[in-house]
Amino acid sequence: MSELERRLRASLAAQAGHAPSGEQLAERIIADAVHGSVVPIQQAHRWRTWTLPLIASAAVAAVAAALVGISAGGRHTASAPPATQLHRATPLYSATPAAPTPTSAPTSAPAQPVSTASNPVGIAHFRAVDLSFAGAHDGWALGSANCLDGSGAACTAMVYTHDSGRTWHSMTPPGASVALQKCADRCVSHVRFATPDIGYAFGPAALFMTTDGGHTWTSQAGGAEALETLDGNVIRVATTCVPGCPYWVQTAPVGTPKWHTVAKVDGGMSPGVALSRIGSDAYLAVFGHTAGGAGSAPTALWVSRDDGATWTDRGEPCRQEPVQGGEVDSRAVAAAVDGSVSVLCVPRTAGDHQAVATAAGPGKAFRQSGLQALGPATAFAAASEHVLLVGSDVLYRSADGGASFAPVPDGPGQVRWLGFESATLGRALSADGRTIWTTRDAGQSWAAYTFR
Amino acid sequence: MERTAEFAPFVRANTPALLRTAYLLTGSAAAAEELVQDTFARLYPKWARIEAAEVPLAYVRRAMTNGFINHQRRAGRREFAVESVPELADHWDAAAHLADRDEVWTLLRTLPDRQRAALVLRYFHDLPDEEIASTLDCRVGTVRSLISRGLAALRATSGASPRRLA
Repeated sequence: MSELERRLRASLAAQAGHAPSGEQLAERIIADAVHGSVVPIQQAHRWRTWTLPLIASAAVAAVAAALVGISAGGRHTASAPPATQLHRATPLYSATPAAPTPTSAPTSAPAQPVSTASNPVGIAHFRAVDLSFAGAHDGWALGSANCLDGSGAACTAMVYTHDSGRTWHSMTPPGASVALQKCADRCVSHVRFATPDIGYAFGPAALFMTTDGGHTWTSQAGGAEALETLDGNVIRVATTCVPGCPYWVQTAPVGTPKWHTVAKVDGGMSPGVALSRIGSDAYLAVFGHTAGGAGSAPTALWVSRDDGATWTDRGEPCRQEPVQGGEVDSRAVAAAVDGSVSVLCVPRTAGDHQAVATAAGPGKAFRQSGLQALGPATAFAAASEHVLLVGSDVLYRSADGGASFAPVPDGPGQVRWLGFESATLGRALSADGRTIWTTRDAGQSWAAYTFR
Repeated sequence: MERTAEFAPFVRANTPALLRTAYLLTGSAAAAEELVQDTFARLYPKWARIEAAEVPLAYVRRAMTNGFINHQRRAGRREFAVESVPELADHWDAAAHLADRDEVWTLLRTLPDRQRAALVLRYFHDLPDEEIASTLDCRVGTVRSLISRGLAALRATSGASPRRLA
């Protein structure tokens, strides 16, 4: 044997040690084959060619719920959340465009029919809690699915798409429980990907990072109330208690653990924050404490124009036009690809009414629309300065900067998350987490992918 | 149910080993998992026949290797094996430039799929030519050619790009 052959042999032996262990895969294979939860994948993805002989339609039962990448800590428990979580308000989800520029916007396509899709292979009863897209095609969803042990309990799960949401595939989730109704221990409730390789999953007391497309996740120090990646860096906002502790704003180059504290923001009795980015602009809303009859609880909107390096307090963006004597509170912030930023304003004494305050850019003045009675809002997004979406009992759309809203026919209905990746391409996550909706015409029509 | 009873223990016992082979073939953990999963999915309907094989693991490994190669073929990648390739007699000290094992791995991943498969079966599994030929569904002479060409390519690549191996 030559020296080259000897070294080749040694190299193969060493590299084989990097192969996955296979235990979880084996159980998934067995469950899929025996119980027939396997379904064909529409889009060719590597070697996945499961065929009909494996499909036993009657057996899409809980036992077949094989979940990819369940870790020991992946079981969602029903234990009480930490005390710091008990008083957390539920600020609306920020609708941050994940694409850095509008140049990634796809051309408009005809509306697609609503379709009932399948489970990703190895996943049963997947329910998403958060979405993230890096560009027009690559997306990820964090959620829960049935545990591998067939107990029917929910475990952390993740899925991804490389075809703009037309098909979804299972992937390895981080080793933490997922926040469903409560956040147990080190839970994760959000996911953000900067590139197809580099992503983050986080919750108030947990932060995980992957640099290999989700094959492996490494735990980072601390957690994040909010985190957004864009423009080559990541901004996170963290605190040690809610309410009552200050928020620490940190930045790091994407894919690195080199966090640098750039600001300390007084949180007062703030129940939470929202972070939204577009280009090099970033907006951090530190919401005022509106519960318990607080008389004055203005939101502080902090603005950065240099990827989070420096911040300026712009104050409360919502114009105070008291309804029955109450304040008007900021509830959500959304930056759009045209550089505008919009804030959803809700009168404290009329929670089913909304107004929208919009500024054309970080240095521009806010102008506020009149109040609309859209019902209790659950999500908010901005495709542009003029096109806005509000999720309530149904999805409402405005094409005139919030002056008027109209229900979107055949749209997502009740949603828990809304966001735009470009001026036309947007997503919605249904309230039950079962359906991911895609619009390619700025919210006028929607196509659905429903997890069975 | 009987098929199921035989299938599960086999999968549990052999998936780790198959994953190692799949990883060496594909160079990716995710692709390796898909390759193994797809292989079992194709074989499960005829598992009774596989159980009756003299060496079931060899049968599965053969199916997996062919699945890998066939997929690459469908993807439009082509290679042409010949019966014999003259070993290039040069004086390049390839071994000295292959001190870094990761560099060997990097070069291995640039080889055509059948050459890489032949090298993996020979130098990782220590299979004889006859068994490699059975796995790759080719003649013994072709196996020798594939291995010879693979090694030659490693030498040639290392010689052409010495900086990569520094």
